Amino acid sequence: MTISSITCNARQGRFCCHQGFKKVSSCLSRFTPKKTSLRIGSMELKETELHRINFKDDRFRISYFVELDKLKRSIAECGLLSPLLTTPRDGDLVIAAGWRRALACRDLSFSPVPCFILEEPEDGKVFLLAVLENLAAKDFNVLEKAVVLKKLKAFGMEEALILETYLPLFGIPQNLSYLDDYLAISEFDAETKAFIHTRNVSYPVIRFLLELTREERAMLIPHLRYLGQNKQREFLEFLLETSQREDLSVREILASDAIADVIQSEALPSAQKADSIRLLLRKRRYPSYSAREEAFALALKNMEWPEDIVLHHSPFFEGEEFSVRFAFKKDAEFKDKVQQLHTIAATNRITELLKTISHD
Amino acid sequence: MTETRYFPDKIFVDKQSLTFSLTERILKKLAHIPVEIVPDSDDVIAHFKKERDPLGEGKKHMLITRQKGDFVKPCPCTPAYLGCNYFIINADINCPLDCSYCILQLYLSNPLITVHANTGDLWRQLDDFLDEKHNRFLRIGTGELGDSLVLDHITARSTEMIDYFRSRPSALFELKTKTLNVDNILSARPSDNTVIAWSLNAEKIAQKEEQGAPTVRDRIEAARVVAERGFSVAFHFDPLILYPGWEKGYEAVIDALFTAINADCIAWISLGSLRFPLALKDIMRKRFPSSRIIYEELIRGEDGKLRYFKPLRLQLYKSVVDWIQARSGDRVPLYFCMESGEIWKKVLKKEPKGKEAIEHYLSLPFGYGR
Repeated sequence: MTISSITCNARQGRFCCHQGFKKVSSCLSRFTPKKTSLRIGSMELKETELHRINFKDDRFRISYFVELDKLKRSIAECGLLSPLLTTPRDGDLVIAAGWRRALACRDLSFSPVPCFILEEPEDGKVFLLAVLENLAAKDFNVLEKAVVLKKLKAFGMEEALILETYLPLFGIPQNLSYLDDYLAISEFDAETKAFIHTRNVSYPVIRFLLELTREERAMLIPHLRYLGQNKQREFLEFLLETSQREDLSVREILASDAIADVIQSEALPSAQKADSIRLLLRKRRYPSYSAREEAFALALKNMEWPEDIVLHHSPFFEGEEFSVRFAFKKDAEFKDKVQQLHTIAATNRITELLKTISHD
Repeated sequence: MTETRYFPDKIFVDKQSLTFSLTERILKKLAHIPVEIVPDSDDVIAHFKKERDPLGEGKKHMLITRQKGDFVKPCPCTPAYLGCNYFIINADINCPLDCSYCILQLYLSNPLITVHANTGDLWRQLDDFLDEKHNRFLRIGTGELGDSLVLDHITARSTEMIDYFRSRPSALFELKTKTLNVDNILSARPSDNTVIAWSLNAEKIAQKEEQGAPTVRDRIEAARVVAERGFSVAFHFDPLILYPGWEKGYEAVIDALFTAINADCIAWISLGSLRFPLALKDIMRKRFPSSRIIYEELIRGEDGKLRYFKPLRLQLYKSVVDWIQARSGDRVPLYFCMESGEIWKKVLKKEPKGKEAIEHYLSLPFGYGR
């Protein structure tokens, strides 16, 4: 019987949890996986008491943010259907693959558990097996990729091989600067990693986080967590570019009057606070453009432009054209809007408006 | 004048390009530099692209290969802004100078200094192209995907090109450079339809943002010598860059230019402000962390590229044009590269109807289009 047939049978429910596992396990003897390019040592399938597993040794662990509730429910009802992959180190067993399953079993005090015990002294080979086993089941997120690349390097894999083989496998461009970025991501503090995980932070935002110190990230994450991905990116882009442009630290910018007022405000809800800071940063990053936008809005207000007719300028005032948009349902509404525009056209209000925002 | 001429650390030669006469000439000239013959230049390019700084590493290495595609193409210009109907010759690709704002950092997928050695194909394609244009006036040059003269001490392309275009008087041929590499130009017989052009900038920008390029003062001196030899010269203030003290910086360069060179020798001056696709910003931030030029007020233009907010561009252009015209009157044709009709109108008081009109305007001083 092969490993794949055991898994297959177990999934089809022919074996009932531990009883089933025992039947399967009795069919097995020590075996060596054949035709593997890794040339790993022999493996044995055994029922193992949980206390034999050293949970403190996470040398092969890839995922640090795991959700266990559903898995625990499954194990409580059906048992553990897929064995863990472990390897003996210093008298204990170390988990190579199946960390989620092992943690769920520990929470449930579910013991013994089925384990493949891999007799392979080289950590690098065991880790590769763990990586490939995990990859077959799911795509890695940014943090998991970072952990894998860091550990591959720590286990002695040459940069060139990582570049050739593993970056493409993880969908990362084959360039050493990307490897550098991922290695730096793996060194992020726990709060930053938790933020990236819980908010599913995009890679462009993570790139900005790499430019910040730990202290700066700690100041910003409480605000960033209330923003969507695009606004997170804008927030950090405006902030970091203003920092460069004005030669001020992030702390100094956040301490400036307008932003500090928002941060200290007790009236504003957190999400609104975060977005207000973003808008203040935008205004500071683009002072001329923001001033022109404000002048345009003020001019519309002063000329009592009808609220239900929208006058658009071109994006960033780059083009010379303006557009007018209004909605109507009935003939009378249409005529009313046109009449309002006609009234405006009869005055010199548009000329005044154009003067207000003229680039000359 | 001081200049350090470019020599690569190593040369890769595509096996199929070994027999070209230009390859032989380069290898003879650079006999002291290690050479590796490679079966496929794509493998070399792929190798360099994996480096931490592919562009920086690529600049240290030369690749001699063949141009598999077209040597001659229309200048891509940019959508939504006015072009000038220029044509480009992609003979040598990439540039050993390292300007922070250079679009080639993003545009080229091959980071090596690449010489296309199949010059027989180049002449044939140029013949076909010019014949197809029925000898109508056109402007064409080599300085789009690389500096026209930076490799000239190695390739001596300039003299061959000048000689080729001498027999094609309907084309106005431009060599565009930041270098002082003009020995071959000075030994060539001046040609009525060849213009040697320099990119100029404020001295401070040249020092900070144009790594490896000579000082602007030296560029002007090289232009003076070339003009004295009898060639028409031209200048490109592109990209004009806003920085604290830009007014003094640009006025000083314009002053130095017209002190050294008679306005009547200048075929044209082009103006363009800093602009680049968004993706270049990340590259610039990474490769030139001390550069501050991307932190000015750059907004998304109608072509999607970042460029200065229009009032800032207008102020910059109006100032530069005023300084130029104060020293040369209307004797030097001025034009904008990749700008809007509104900018043309507000700064140059001209309303070109399209790229053909701009081409016509620039051809008049050469006696074309009359």
